[in-house]
Amino acid sequence: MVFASQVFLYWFLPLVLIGTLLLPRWLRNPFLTAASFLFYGWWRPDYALLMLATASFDFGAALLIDHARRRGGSGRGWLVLSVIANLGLLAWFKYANFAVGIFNDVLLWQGAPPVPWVEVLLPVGISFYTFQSMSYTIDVYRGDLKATRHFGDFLCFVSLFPQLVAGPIVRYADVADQMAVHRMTVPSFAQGVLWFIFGLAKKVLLADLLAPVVSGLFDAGTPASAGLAWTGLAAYTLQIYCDFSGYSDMAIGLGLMLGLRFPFNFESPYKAASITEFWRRWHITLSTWLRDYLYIPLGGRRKGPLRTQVNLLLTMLLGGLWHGANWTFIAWGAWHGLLLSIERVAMFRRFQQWLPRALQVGLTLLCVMLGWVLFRAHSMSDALDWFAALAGNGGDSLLVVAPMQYAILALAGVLALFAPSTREIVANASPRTVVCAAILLPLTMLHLHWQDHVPFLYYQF
Amino acid sequence: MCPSSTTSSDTSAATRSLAGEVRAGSVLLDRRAQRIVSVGFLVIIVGAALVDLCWPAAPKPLAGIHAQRLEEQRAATQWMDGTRMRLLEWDLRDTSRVREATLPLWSAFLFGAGRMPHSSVIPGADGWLYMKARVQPERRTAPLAQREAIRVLIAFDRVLAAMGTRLVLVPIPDKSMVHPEHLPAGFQSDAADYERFIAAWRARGLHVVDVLGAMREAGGQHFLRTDTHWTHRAARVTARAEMEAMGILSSVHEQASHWEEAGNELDAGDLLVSGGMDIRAMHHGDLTGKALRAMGALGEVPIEKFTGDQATLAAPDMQRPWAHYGSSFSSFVHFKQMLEWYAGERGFIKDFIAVDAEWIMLQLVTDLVAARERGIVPRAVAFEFLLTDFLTDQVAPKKLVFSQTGIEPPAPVPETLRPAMVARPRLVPGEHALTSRGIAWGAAPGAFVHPADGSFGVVIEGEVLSGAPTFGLNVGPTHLYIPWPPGARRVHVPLFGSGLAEGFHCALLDLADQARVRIDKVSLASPLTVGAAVSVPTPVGAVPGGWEADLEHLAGADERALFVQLTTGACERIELTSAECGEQLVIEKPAAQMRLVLPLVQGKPTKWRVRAQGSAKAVVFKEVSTLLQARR
Repeated sequence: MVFASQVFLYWFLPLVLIGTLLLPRWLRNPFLTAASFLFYGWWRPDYALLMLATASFDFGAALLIDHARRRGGSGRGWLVLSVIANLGLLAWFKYANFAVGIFNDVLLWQGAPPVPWVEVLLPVGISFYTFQSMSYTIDVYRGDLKATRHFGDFLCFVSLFPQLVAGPIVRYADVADQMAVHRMTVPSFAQGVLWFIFGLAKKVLLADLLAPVVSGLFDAGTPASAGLAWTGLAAYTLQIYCDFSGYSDMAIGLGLMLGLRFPFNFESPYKAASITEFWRRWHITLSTWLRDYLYIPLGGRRKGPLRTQVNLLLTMLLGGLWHGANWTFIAWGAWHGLLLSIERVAMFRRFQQWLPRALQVGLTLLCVMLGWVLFRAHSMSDALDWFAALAGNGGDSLLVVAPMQYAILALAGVLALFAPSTREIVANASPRTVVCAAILLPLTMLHLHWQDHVPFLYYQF
Repeated sequence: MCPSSTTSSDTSAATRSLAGEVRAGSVLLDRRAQRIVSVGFLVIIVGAALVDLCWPAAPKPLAGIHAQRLEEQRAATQWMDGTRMRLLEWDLRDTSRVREATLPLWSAFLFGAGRMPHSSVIPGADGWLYMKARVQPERRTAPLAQREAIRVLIAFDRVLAAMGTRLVLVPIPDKSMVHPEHLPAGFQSDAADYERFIAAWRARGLHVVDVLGAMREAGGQHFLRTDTHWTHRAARVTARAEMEAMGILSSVHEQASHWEEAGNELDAGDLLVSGGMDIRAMHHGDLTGKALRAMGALGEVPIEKFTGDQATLAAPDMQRPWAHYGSSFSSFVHFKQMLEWYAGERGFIKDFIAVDAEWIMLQLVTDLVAARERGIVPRAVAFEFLLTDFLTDQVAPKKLVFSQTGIEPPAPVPETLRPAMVARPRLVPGEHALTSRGIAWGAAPGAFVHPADGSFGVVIEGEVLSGAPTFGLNVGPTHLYIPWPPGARRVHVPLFGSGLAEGFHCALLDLADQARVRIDKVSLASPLTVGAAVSVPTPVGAVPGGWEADLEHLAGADERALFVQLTTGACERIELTSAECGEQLVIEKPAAQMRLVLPLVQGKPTKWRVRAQGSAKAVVFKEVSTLLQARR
């Protein structure tokens, strides 16, 4: 199920909200768990069992870690087992096809027949819930968190539908107390409604209306002119932002409606004046997850400048790989890793600070956009063709962009670069904000009815 | 990914405040405003759900094969793979009253004011629309395949010439070739492709009508602004050029024909529909259409009005008729009448909607084979098709193989023509328990032509062990069920389809899931042949209360069925009854064009009585080949 659909908006959400409100507190978590499994299983019920297995395994592993520590041990073995299980699951479902593809390419190059292989279907949201679940066992091992003995609460945390399939990546420590209380209040509900409406509008009215321009240019060969190529790239830059941040906003909004406060995930990333700052504004929960569970354990900045750069690059490479099983994602991660490394060089930092802020923002945005070419391209050769098209050496793909699409592109650009973030809007909400939301909600509903289902871009990560 | 765990000096105040911040902001609205927001939101979404629950919209009605396919899909859905949920979502969407009420408004805004086109349509200047697949064909046939196409055509031409029949090719240029001036910037027409093809075919001795050249010479508008088809002007120019190429142009009648410029309107075209821009196609009334016209989203195109006197046309030459086989262009804007006007006599004209050149050619061959067996040799045959069909490999002329005409298949024989591809492996000797899904066979157009003997049908030899098996055929938009003739041990199942995207489809099945059959042998049948032709005098114009007519046909030795084509206007019901066969077929609300298969009794006269109820403008019964009329 997806948020931007009739079945969710008119049927699932009202029933869940009313049910949660009317039920006694001790029944709310089980009810939400059941609803979340229905939400996830709407795609494939059999894959919901996989999520149940992950949650069960990590719940048990955390208890065993706790038990081992009370007996004087470290529980390290159980932690390793949990990490291996989670990463193994991710590796199998997400990367097996990629690995076999590479292996077969090598075999073919050697003149040997390829290995027969039936493609593995990627379960929706697996990257998100395995990271979430894994962070719990790691936190328990580190002593940052006490293992919970309530499997129901833990299962609810892992499966919670607002952030299940596309984040934000929530840590158990963030929500454990809230889930025990489930305080649904009018102020939090109202906040949630505003977050949800603005997120829905970003997704449906901006991202989805830009989608035909993006797919028309990225999926039909290489654009015939530099103008078209830059138009397509701008459209994708804004589409991915509006789509992903819109989804996160909706997730936060739903959480607030249910009395839960999730971490926010986006803070006007295209206003960043450096790549470092960009990663503090884009997919914040993933970047902090990687910082806390990968970069810092690798040594962070503690082992000298060279090792710091290596750790940085490795973290970014793996971060790129997390997004998808394709060389383009690895290249995208490497691109950002390289930029971050460059920014760490003192001389470059001084040069950067010398530039006017507008230019810093412009250069950062340019670097980010060039990275999106890698992110969106189907293959490295497609990406190279795109770079050539951006430079004026285009292909033969043409597209007529409607005036309305240009208008939406311009509007999305202005909002991304100059408007306050959703957090700021909701934090400073006024009656004007409410009127704006009141206008946006029916408009999004109108478009929702009209369009075929346009999936979230991050749906299958 | 923010690997730096401590803030650096160059982070902005905004990012400093973000470090470690994981809480959403507070809301400054007062309590009252918060309640309004909360309650208002719930009221809207719950209200929409209640409207849909208590007042659902009627689901879109489907007919014929589409309804059957939907039922098949429903039956195939499962819970565990999520398909049942997709179906439920579809149903909720389909019956949503809120959606039904809001869709036209938003569509009018998007398409009218926003000019948002569908991905399959290219909007040009001045409101002109072009089909993207024809302006930018996704694939282009390799030169080798084009050479094969020419070889097939050359071979076909030579065989016909030996028979005394002139083959005339009438390739229709794409709209963008004729009117490139309205294409948007960057798009180019491929008129050079057209000219190259004409030159190549003529160089090899083929009679080809240069339709593009004729249109350019005549000047004016030859294609409709928002439709893929041509105007009266273009049809008239082509009809004249075709008759000239066929050597039967009658100059006398050209002087007597009347063509008037009139203010007829065609304010909606197929490109508007396929582009999702024809709001009126959603049946939301003229109000939306008027609003769109006011916004300039729909245009008006004056087209020529045809007036002619049919009484002046000569009777057809039964032994040496002229014939024309073509695409939807042949059925558009009185083209057929124009052909007869320029010929000065009636001919045999057949048009096929929504099929490609391969299908048209296949049908032409089928009919020629049948006609030749009865001594009818057309003096000229025109084959009209869209040239873009030859520019993409959606049509692969190399798949066309003609037998019994003396044409050898182009070597090498492609894999797709092996008999194994003609009938799916399940239609094999042995005992079979039949279900409602049955044993299906059939394939994409062209793939069922056998390279060795040019067979077009399937003969099943076997026996019904229990139950009452049925053959399900897709015949045009209708799915028709014909029972396995009781006691028959040899059944000829002809291949007859409308050639639409789904191709031909036939299945041996039992709707009650009980029948068992034993198949002893499956062989490819000789081409369908029909005995003496039947023409049915039908009333012209509306006949309140309906009318009746009789078909009488003497079945041939191999014939098991009679094929008829129905064309109805506002007909409520068609009833076909045969006392000899003991069969009755009733069709409620028949489609505008339908093809039926009526069983015959072998070797005996079989009378089928047709009764049409309700007002019927015209119902014309045609056999597969009315070239055979002369033999009556």
